[in-house]
Amino acid sequence: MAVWVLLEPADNAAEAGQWAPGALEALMPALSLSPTLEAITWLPLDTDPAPWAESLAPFGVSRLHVVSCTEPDSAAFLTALHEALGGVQALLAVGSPRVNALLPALAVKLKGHVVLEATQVVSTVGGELDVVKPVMGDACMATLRLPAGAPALLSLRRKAYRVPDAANTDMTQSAVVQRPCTPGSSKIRVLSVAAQDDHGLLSLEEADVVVSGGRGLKGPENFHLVEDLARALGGAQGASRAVVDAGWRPHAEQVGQTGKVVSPKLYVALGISGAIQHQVGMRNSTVIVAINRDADAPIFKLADVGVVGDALTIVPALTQAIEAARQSR
Amino acid sequence: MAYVMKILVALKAVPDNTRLRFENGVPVLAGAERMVNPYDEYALETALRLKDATPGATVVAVGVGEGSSPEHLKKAIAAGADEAVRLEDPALVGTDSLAVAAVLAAYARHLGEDVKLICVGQQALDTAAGVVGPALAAHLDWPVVARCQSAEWAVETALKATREAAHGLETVEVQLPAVLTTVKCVYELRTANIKGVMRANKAEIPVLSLDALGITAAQVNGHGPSTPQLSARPPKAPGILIQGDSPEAVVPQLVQALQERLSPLGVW
Repeated sequence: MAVWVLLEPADNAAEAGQWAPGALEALMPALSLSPTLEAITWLPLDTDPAPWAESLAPFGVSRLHVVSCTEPDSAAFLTALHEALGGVQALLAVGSPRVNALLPALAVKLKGHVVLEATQVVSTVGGELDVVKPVMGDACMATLRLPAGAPALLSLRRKAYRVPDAANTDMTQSAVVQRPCTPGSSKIRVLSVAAQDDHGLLSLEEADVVVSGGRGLKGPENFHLVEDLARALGGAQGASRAVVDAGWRPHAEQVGQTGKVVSPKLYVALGISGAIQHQVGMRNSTVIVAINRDADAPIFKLADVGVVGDALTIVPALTQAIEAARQSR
Repeated sequence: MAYVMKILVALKAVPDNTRLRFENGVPVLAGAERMVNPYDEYALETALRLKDATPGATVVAVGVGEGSSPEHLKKAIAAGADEAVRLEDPALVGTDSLAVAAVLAAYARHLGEDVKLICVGQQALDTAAGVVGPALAAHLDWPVVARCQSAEWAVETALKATREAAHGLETVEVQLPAVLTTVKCVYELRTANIKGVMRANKAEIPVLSLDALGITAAQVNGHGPSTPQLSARPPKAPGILIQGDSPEAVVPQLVQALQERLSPLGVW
């Protein structure tokens, strides 16, 4: 089976020269479909592709196709990808705003199947692919069986797979295949980029720990408690829809329906009752901790560890205890 | 300057996930109460705001296949859409997002060059596919600005839109015709007024078949996957509940519980 991975380069200055966070997680499910892979990415014309290719050799990637492109919104870029992917049976990538806009367009051009934000990919005896993803607001799982014969374009939810161990030591170099792309044709021009004000915390999608606050925190002035706990745990800060709608926190922090969907190893809900709209965004977290005054709050049905009590008094003590515990290790 | 322009908005009626009934961990969808996909509500609001700023612009609310619902399309008219249309066909039963995109593209071609903009929700709440917007743009060879939080006019033939990107919010200028997909927007949703509700009550919503759009079922459904099999989420062990009157009483228990669960995961 001709299996490729689409690897997104990081697009901010701080991570220049690296793959986008989590991009290499696509290698694990790809390697489960085929022991050797090819990869495709895009880099500006003046970039030396050698180090990029080198980083992939240990994962069994025989060739890295590099589309020379600084305008990933352009039709020319889509055409370049489309032409490179002729004959590919499966293309796997880690979901991101960019990747999730590219794959459906490629599915149209290649007459393929597309599933975005999958959590599991398995090949069947009959050569079909079973792709699993959470649906209905993450309330249940759907398995989509993709018939063989048309290419499968799949993006994976962040952290659904881990980056594989570098195992294939026989391969020392991935060959580079340069692919041209006509510049200057983009109908979309980026005017400005506003980085999220994250107080130096991790982004919601990256973090292994997410601490979110809700209306139970009483007012925007108390959200430093969320930030302090997030910092103590080395995580990111989130918020419920209620407090975003009330203007206490920015939309970028909203976890849930029409906000971010996160699946960290630890999710801490502070003063969040846990309406369905919030559950949509966090129910796939590995360990869920909830602190809420109302013992009947729906969040306690999801919580692995629930505390019935006032977040305003418990959280400062918890933050202190965690800082102490971490320092003593 | 006024000029003729149609803005299409795709609206899907999805099961209301706050009222779903579950059997063996799987929601019962037959007969479930439906609502307008929340992401599509922002697509409609974006279209209406652009229309408000453009004399001569009209907004058409479009329902496709099984997600098409006259009741919910009328709500769009009540909110300010000029007209609505249902693109329905027996051949669309059980089809996927790629089919919906193909049908919407056929409808845009059917209307011709007056269509300058199509707004769709970034994803539908039920299938969480996120496919229609970018696939539709690919069919039409139009640019797509995905995950928009706002859009306004830049010049007569271009929009300035703000989209969610990997590292924050990007403001872009996009030449029309184009497709926008919306997430939660920075502006509030409008509510219908009496005049709108009366107009909606009287509105006739025509139904167009694939035949009327000039496409065949094979063109639409050529490569869709099978109908998804729904299954319950993996079961989870029941949680523990810590109760106590003071932080001093609960925090030590909480820290211990965290340590036990997080140490094996490597985040303690």
